[in-house]
Amino acid sequence: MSAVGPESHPEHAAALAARVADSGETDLALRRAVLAGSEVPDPYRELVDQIAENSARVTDEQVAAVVQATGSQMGAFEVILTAAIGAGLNRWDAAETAIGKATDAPS
Amino acid sequence: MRLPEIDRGDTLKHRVLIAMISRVSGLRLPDAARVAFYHQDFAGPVLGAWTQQTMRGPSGWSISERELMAAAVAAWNSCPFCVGAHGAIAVRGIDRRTVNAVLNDYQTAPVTDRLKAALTFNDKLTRTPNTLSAADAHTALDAGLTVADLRDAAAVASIFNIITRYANALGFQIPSDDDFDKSADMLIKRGYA
Repeated sequence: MSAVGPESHPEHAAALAARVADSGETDLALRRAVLAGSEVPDPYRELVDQIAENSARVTDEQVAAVVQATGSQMGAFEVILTAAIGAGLNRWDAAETAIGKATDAPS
Repeated sequence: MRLPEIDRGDTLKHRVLIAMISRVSGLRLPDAARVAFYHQDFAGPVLGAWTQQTMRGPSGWSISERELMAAAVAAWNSCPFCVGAHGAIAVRGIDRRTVNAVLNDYQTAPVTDRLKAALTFNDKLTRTPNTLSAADAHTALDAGLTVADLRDAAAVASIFNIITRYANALGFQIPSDDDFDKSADMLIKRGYA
């Protein structure tokens, strides 16, 4: 499953990041910033940081504020999914870096 | 569910599908499946394809082991929906007491050194990804994992660091144990894509 090819994990990860950038109704700069973990204005910041740090503590109010800011539930969905994908891809990159260093050089 | 549009479906076709699947399966279609039907022009289908390959594709890990890894990530991220959903599949191939022991404290659970090493790597990857180093990968490889095994385990952790976050943020409704069990049948038969 991990062989380099069209079905490899790195290709899936890259496709996921590309899909977030290439589709969606919300502002592209916002989605890119959320995906990268860069600073975004409130009320996005509060929700995005909460999803990254402790998603179990997200509140109705945080989500409602982003629905209002984007103007739709679909927009809020994009922000939530993008924040989650950013956290996951950050971890995939960390794993790839650690495994790459471990296999490139003797311990 | 904090976004009612996802709950009811965003198109007539999806609303009919949600109602039909719920009726045929005899359970409320879980929120994870409702999300998969929602706004399909966005990232969901691409994430679904990676999840399908990671959880059901060829791997040195059994399906139950991968589902247990997913449930462990869910436990670390305090996501009761994903603990229930993926724990219910893990027990199809691994003794329920062992699954519970892993979810309680994998370091003392009666599992192979190989699985414990993967869980140790994924624990750090989940909780403190910025501290993960080559030494952590070496430790896992020294425990008998191949590089492919380790990458496959890390893919499970990465994907479930996504899924647990949106499940929590969207406020997924928690099914009963019986409904988790029925949903496990569906996820085994139909997969994630």
